[in-house]
Amino acid sequence: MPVLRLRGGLVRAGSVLALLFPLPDTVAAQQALAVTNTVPLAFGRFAAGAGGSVIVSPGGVRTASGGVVLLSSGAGSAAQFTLSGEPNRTYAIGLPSAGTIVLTSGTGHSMPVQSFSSNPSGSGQLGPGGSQTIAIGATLGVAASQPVGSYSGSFQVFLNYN
Amino acid sequence: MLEFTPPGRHPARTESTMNGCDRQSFRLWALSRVLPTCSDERNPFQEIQMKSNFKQASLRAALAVALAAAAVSSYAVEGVAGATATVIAPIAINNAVDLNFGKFAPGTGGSITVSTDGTPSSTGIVRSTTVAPTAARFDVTGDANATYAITYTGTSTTLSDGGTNSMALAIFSDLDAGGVTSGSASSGTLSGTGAQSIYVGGTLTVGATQAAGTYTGSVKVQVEYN
Repeated sequence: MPVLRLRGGLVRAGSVLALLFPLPDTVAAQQALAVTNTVPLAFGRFAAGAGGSVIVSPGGVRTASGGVVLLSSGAGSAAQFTLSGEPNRTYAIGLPSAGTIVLTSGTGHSMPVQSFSSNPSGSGQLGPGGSQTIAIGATLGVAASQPVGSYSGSFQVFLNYN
Repeated sequence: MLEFTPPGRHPARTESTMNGCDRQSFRLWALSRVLPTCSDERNPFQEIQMKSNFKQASLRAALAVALAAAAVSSYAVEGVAGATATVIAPIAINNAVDLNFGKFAPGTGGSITVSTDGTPSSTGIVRSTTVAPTAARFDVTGDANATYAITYTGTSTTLSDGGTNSMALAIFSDLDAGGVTSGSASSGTLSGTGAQSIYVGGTLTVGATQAAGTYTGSVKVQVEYN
């Protein structure tokens, strides 16, 4: 019967589907990665002087190069993200590339943020409880006689299960 | 005969490849697992051909779904953080008043001291009152409430008449014109409006046979945020 033969074809096709469809079910059982920003990246207060840079390490240590003078009254901070997901699962960390992030003042001036680095670096592993904290630092480029003011911006990190 | 073709739709795209049931339709059936309802008359040969195509179409559909699922399983997430920086006003210093020891005669020799509030005191010499001594005042400006370091490197250790005669100079300072005659301020804190003054006094040693003349030197004060 033509129609039955057609059904037979369908059943076999269906078994192929059945073999391949369990994958989405497995995926659905995973815990999705979730990320929350808990601490912003702050370069603190400084005088530009002859220009240079302000470096904030993932450990939150702030240093200056060139003519930049840091003020102790305005300490910086490394950005911190809290991740949650599958316990013990490893994941990759994607940081902004050079030339994509700038901080801007309300009066149209800007400073580039470069050389992002993270701890853990490159990839991390969620703990047995399914969470981990990532710290991120970067380098701020400061021009000679950079105009006085408050500068702000934002950056993105991309996290992905390995 | 006139044919109407809607814009953007080519007549060839609407052709069915198999008895009125095109491949795209088969893929949709495979995904939804619903039997095709194509009711066209077929001969057995066409039926076999159709079954074969159907399997291929199903496999393609299944593969497509699996790949899509693999993409979903990546679970990439994006975190966004704010970033800030504050550029403050550079620190500046301006000499508002000079350190001036006034006029005096050497007498038996001795010294004259001008305190940080400008009050003179002396031993051995004879002061003239025609020129009032003054302590030096330096006005510092910068970021409100900022702390800074103060150094005096380069300050003259002697005042000279431009020739071979000189008098030894020692300085001291404070931040409030408190009238001190010793010690020096090594750090300061700018006010809420970003200002502070440094007052510098000094002691000049005068010889009994000090040559008459005008003696000059310089007091240098450097400030730096810390």
